[in-house]
Amino acid sequence: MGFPAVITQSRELKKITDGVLENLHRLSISLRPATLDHLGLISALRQHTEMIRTQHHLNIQFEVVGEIERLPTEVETAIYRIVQEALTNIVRHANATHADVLLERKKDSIIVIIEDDGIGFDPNNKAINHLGLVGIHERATMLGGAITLESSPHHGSTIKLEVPWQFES
Amino acid sequence: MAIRIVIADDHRIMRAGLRSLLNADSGLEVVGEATNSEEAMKLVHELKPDVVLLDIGMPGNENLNALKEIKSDSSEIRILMLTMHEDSELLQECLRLGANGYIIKRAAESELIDAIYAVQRGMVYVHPSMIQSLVAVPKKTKTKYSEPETLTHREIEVILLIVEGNTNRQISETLNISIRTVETHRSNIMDKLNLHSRVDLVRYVNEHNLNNLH
Repeated sequence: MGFPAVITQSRELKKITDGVLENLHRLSISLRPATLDHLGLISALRQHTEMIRTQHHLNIQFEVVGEIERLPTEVETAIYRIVQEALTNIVRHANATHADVLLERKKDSIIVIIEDDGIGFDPNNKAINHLGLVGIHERATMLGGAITLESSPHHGSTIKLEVPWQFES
Repeated sequence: MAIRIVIADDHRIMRAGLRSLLNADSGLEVVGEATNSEEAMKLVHELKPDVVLLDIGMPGNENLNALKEIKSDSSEIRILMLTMHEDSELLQECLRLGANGYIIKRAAESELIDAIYAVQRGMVYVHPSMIQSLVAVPKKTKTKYSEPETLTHREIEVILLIVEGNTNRQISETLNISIRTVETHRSNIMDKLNLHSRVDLVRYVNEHNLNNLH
């Protein structure tokens, strides 16, 4: 290999490395966005849904029902990750036009619903375990909560997380 | 007279780097360093610098609080947030709390110095890569709602159960009807009201005080 070729290839490598570093930086932000630490779950979810709306052209809406103050870090993180995972599935597999994230304060629980109008799936099909649903269930269990999963072909899908919670105010 | 600067950052090398960078400019002088938000507030109160470089990432979640405190203590002190996070919500919150600038740590040295001079002149400095998030206003489309009178009693029941966070199966169990029937109600409701999703329904119910119709 001649000298100029080495230079060209080194330049190419440098470009690749820069790209990887940039992606890694973005990845680390999306794994645990600063917003989650500093401004809490609601801001982080608003930002995440907004990001998906612009990047994936999915008509996604986020709504909070009732007053929800800051929750302990582990609860906020788990809920955030569950929503993130569910939305990743929707973007990758659902072929949906609309998706919703609803965070709702109940008398003694918090409900999170992630719903889409996509192609749906059969929840009893063991082959869908790769959709990160195991992880979603595990996170919910860690919170002492439960996941309800409903879907049928052509009728979209609904993931509902319910976490028992005693609100102080 | 040089612009007097306090650096608040928990990383020693970062502080050392900033200090030598800033002191190399004859118009700037680093007068103090803090390693956490509490120290920063105390030092700023004592030294009354012109500009504070405040790292959002210092340990503890009190750094935004420090921003607020310093601003309420002496509003003329310019605060330039220094952060690794290109995070639009965080940027907006900082500006809302009174920050004069927001610069990301991957910015070039010259940008930091420009930013310091800019905030000292009373301007707001936001790193160029973040400006778009300030001007990108989300489009709001005003949905034309139909009136609730066109809904049947059963449909209103279904709507309220959806809005309360029930799934189709849960609704079918509560009303003792099949899931298929719930799905049909749901799609009729959406058609009648020209809505597309659960969140649309939640907003619709709030706007129409539908809870009172029931």
